[in-house]
Amino acid sequence: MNRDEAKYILRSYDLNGRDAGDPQFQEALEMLRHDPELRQWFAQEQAMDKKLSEMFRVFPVPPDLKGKLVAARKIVPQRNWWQRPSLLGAAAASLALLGVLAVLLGRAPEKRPFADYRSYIVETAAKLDHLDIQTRDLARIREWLGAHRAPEDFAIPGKLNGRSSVGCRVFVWNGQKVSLICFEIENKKVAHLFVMDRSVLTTLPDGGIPDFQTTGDGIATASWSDVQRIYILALEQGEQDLKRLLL
Amino acid sequence: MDVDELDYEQVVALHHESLYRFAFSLAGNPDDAAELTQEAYVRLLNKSWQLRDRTKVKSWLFTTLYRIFLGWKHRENRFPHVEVLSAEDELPPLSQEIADEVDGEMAMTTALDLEEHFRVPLVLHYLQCLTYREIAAILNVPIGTVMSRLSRGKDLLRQRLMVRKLQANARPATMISSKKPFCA
Repeated sequence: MNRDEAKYILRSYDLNGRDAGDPQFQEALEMLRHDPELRQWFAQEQAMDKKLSEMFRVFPVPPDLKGKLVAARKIVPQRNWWQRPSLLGAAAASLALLGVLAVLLGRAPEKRPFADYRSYIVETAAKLDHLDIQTRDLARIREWLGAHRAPEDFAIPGKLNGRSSVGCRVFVWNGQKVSLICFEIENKKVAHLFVMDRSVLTTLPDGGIPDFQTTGDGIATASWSDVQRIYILALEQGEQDLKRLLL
Repeated sequence: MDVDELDYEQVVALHHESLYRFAFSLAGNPDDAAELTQEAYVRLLNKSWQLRDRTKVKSWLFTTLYRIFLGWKHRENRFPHVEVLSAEDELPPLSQEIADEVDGEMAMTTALDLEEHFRVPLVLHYLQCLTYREIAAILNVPIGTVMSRLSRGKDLLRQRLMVRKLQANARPATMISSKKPFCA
């Protein structure tokens, strides 16, 4: 190994010396002991790197970030908590804390009638101007929605299953994430499937049987629910199309 | 292993600042950096059972955050490619005196000018959280590649800091002071 090769290797050497035992550095470190010029270069290099490192390590972090991260623990459901006896005792306290937190933050969603939700969907469908992502890959859409903590495990109904997706978007209504998935149907029309957790609604359409309605501004909707989700499929000027897709 | 065993609050306290700084070096803005950091911790809460060795939490978080970033970038074209300045090989080397005048904001914004494949290992190296072998594992590249990128990345960063310092010194003081802080 010559001096240039040693310099090249030593530039990756950990600034805290954690690589001291790494075989990759042994020969270069050994050279340092016998080569004063290399030793001087390394000392200058380390001094410069430590200075630059210090600069990166003082880059400002939002002061409220830590609090938000800690709070996330209280609102993110954890996997199989009920299977861990050690957590059963803590569960009640956590729920109480969550309740207090929700009240304090004023974010606990009140249950609202389905009609309110449908009005919101009709309004949203009527003025929809863009999607968050555009893709024909439904798996990517589910993955994206999951990453944004929006409903992604929806069932695609009837003849809509197999149609090309166009993209998706996430909305928030009454504190709940609403997934919108768009599908291309006949004649370049686009159907909008809205999916939300049903738990924030007081009234629901009857189970899996679609309920069709067309509003004054021409937005047709079909609504149904399953054990977890409420679905609304919306289409402009398209009640007959919706029936063809769903019945 | 679950989140309790990991002592979630301690993990937040230990790593959130470095993770945010790393996220900023990827995303280039505070909002996305905070969202990337939060998403990494949410995944820790949801998937901590995947962690069999608690000593790997730090690497797991950095790896997860980096993968989330790659996913966003791939799916949304969210982070536009930054045009890189031409190489400044003819400049004098960055002196210790000039380096003493560099602050965190200038270091980070200068790093953002570097190509991503130099910037990412360099920032991880300078945050002093990970060794070059751990960086290689996170980026899923050979250790020789990390060494090469660190070496070249250090040269590029120093050159561009030199350019910035020269430009800043040539600029009227009022223009410099009018710049808004990042996390205001």
